[in-house]
Amino acid sequence: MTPRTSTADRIVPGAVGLSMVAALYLVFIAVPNDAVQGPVQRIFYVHLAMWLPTFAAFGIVGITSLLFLWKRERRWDHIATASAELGLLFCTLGLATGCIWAKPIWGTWWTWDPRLTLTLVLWMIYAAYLLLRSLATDPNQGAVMAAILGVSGVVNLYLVNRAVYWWRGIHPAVVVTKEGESGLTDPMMRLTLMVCLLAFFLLFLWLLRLRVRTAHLEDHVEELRAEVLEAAGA
Amino acid sequence: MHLSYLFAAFLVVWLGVLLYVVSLSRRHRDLENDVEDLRALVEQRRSRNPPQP
Repeated sequence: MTPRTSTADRIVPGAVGLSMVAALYLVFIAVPNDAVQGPVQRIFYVHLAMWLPTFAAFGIVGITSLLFLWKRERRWDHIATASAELGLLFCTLGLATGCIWAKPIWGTWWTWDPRLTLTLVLWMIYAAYLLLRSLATDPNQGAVMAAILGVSGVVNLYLVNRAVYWWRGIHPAVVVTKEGESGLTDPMMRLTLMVCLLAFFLLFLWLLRLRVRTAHLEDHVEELRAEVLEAAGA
Repeated sequence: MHLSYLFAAFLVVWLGVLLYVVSLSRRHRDLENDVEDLRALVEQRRSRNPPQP
């Protein structure tokens, strides 16, 4: 099965490369140091850029799992699995960069702040989602159970988002408020953040496309295995 | 200046992404090899046991 190369396949990797180079230039060279935190604050740009793909990925898992439970079409299950895998990757990197930022600023790698704790729970839910799929003896039953977990995980996604408003913690609440107030006082800081968000979101879309293609290939291998058995019995 | 934390954060992110891309491309290559092998096997089995009219 030769994968089709579309316009998106040619444009997206180039856009990812360009935006990544721009993001690195802005983070390491162009953006000014934060007056309070110094250069460590620059971690924040890449840390925050991990959460847009994470939330998008787990949101996609919720929607496509619901569609799979409703229609029982394999393509929805493929997208959900691919998205869960990528969401877990970006969530892991987000947690790791958060810990690295916290050590010099908070004086500790980890604290049981409500948002941090709920994010760890989020990580565990989707790790369980992938484990459930790989350990299930019946792939169809595993897919259904994982889909139920994928849909219910969205509740935790909402809790992570609301945690800083509902419970007192030390995690910063928002970067830019509706009123336009922001901790990012310099316009270059805002631009750097936007470019980083764009670069990692494009990377997520590109990886999602590749991972879904791999899932289709896995299905094709299973079909061919069945064909081999059929041909042997003919 | 805590510059080491800044570089560590970027190293972790790029290493994580790189490892994922390498593992994904390996998985993809293995599957493509499987497809080729299985196709050859199907042809071989079919030529040995042609379907009944």
